Amino acid sequence: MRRKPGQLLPLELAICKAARDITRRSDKEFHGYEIAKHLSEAGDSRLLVAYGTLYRALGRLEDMGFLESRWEDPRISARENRPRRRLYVLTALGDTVVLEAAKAAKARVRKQKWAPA
Amino acid sequence: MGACMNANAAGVVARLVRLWTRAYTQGLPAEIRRGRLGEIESDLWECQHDADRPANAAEMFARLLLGMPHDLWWRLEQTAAASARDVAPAPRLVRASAFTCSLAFHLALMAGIVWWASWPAERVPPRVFTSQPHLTDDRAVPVAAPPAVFESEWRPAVKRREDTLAATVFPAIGAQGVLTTPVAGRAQQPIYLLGTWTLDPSRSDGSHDWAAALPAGDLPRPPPPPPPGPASLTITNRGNDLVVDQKWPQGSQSITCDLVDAATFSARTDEKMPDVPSTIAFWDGARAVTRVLVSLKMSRTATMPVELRTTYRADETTLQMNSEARMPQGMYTRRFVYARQK
Repeated sequence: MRRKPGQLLPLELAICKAARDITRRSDKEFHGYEIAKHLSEAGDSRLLVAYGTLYRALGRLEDMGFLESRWEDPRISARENRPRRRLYVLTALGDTVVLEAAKAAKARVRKQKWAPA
Repeated sequence: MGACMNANAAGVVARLVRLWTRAYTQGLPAEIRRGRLGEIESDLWECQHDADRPANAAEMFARLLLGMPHDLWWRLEQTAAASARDVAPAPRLVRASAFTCSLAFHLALMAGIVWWASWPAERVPPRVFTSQPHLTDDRAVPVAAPPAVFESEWRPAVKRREDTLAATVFPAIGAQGVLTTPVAGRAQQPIYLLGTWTLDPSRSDGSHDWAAALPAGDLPRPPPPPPPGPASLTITNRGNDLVVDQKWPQGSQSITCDLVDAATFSARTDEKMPDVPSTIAFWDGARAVTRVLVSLKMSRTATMPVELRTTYRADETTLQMNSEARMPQGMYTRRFVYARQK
């Protein structure tokens, strides 16, 4: 089934939310593994998101303009003796999407609360 | 010791992940491939050096397996995007990659099925050694008759597993054969194109020069083409290069195309074809397509951009060459048939 343009899958929305949490908590860019770990902790899941699923979703979010990415300065990774990280940051558009999703979720809860039994 | 073994297993799984990533990114434009390999490498490193969450080989393996369909889907998306940008990888590379991906996927699937099928057999308790009379559904079975218990409870469970195995593994093996054989067969197809060929004028269009097909009228016309005559074509594959040498009484022409990667295509043509901004070749064993963009001199000052697209198909004895010239005014096609030179 083809999804509507701009429509987010649950995983993509969860990634945006995780990105917002990380950015608010530490005000920094994040990499793929960090997101997978955060999703696992937030969703109370033992398993991290699969490689293919995670990086495909990140790529899609970047294409949609909700995330921006850049490759880390090679001097930093060389100094720390590890591979370069691809660092992501949530864009203003992505931030808006998360806020709107949160508002919609709240409205749904309120509607359910006031619905006749 | 357990942690050490797990670290070793994690290392092995990390290698598998790298291998799989190389397989499904094979033949993609270099920048996209490097990007994905870099992301995965970084993830593996972070996972193996995370102090809060020690690397777990089983978890890494599960991440690999569960992500495979998405990897393949991503690969298809990238191939489609590359085609749209007209930097599609050579079909040979795509096929080799598809074959590797398909093989890896089916091996993983079969390993999973075999593992699943063998699992319950180890779990069913051997009730033959029970010291108590065992109650079946409708009657008591004495201890003196343990084989009856074995037969009534243990054997059907095994039989069910065997049936399930027969219903899953063998079709899976069959399906794998069906899916991979045509791919492998095509990859092994002999390269008929290579060799020297002589033009068969009776089955070819009149001239070797596409410009002869230009209709009369207001269109700008290049200099008249040379008269047709005995012509030959030699196609060789030197390393990663496809070399097409054309010779006819009035002259010759040679085109060399790199076949390494779509992103690194380059053209090396001799002085007979000046101003060639780009050449692309697609090569798949029995069929090759070369696309050359040339700037054709119409007069001392005027030039015309022309895309020359030539398709070569061959069997053991005959080579068919279809030439298309695409230009702002339209497209003209020519057809030539060559016979293999003995």
